[in-house]
Amino acid sequence: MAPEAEFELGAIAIAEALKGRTIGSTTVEDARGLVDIDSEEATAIFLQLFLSEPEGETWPLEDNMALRAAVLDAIAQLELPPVSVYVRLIPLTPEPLDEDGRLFA
Amino acid sequence: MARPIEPAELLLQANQLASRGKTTPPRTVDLRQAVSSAYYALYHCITRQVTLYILPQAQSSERYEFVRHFKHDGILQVCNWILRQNDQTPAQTRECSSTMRTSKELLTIADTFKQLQQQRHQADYDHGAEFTKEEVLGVIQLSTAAIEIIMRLSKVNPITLRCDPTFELFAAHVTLKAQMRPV
Repeated sequence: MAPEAEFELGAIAIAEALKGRTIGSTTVEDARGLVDIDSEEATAIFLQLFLSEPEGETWPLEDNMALRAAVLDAIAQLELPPVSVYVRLIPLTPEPLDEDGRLFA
Repeated sequence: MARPIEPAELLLQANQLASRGKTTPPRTVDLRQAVSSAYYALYHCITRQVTLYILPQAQSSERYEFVRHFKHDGILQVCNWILRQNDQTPAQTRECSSTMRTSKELLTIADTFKQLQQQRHQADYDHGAEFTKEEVLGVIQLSTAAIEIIMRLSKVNPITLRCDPTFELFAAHVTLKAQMRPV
């Protein structure tokens, strides 16, 4: 199998492994894995984790770190060729941004 | 008189930018700059502590000169060896990389550096990238935690006069990837 195809399948598998998991007070409500080019111009997996609303301004640090450890574990289980995996944490209903953030609207 | 770049000051700046406007929505430009500052706080902490390890008796002016030789992509490469991501670990560093990998703390530092560098790149150059206040505050927390780990691992034991052995390996390999800037 070509590495890109393996990465595509890996991205889906990592997202599936994380979806629905609750770590501390944080639940992964949804997860998406995409394959794209990173800042090193290498093919990489970009994981988007849609999380339950944090109780404070952000999620607890322990949950954040445990989520990242869970992602590293999921990668290790898959035995993929070496690939970078980047994680973005996204609230289900993000706080709206100021008008300055709408340059392309 | 030198006014060094203080990681703690960069973290403070990042927090101020991300927390601006308690009653008004955050500004995209502030969130992007906060991500950038959180990354640079971690970068400068790594290069400063590695320099202190390599040149423990140097004058501060000598250390500020030496610290300029470190490269962002050099540190990233060492992080890739630790995480076994992207880069095939060269045979000459396989044993050391394997030892570094046994340290959960070093894995956290490597993962945080890699994640933050990618996010800084998006924050500074990608017009389509979106950031939320929740995520950016999380990024700042991660940077702060990684910096605390680095400070702990790089602390010299007063009896053995050594720091954590896995940090020594990390510092040595980050230094190996440093390069003299062209004059």
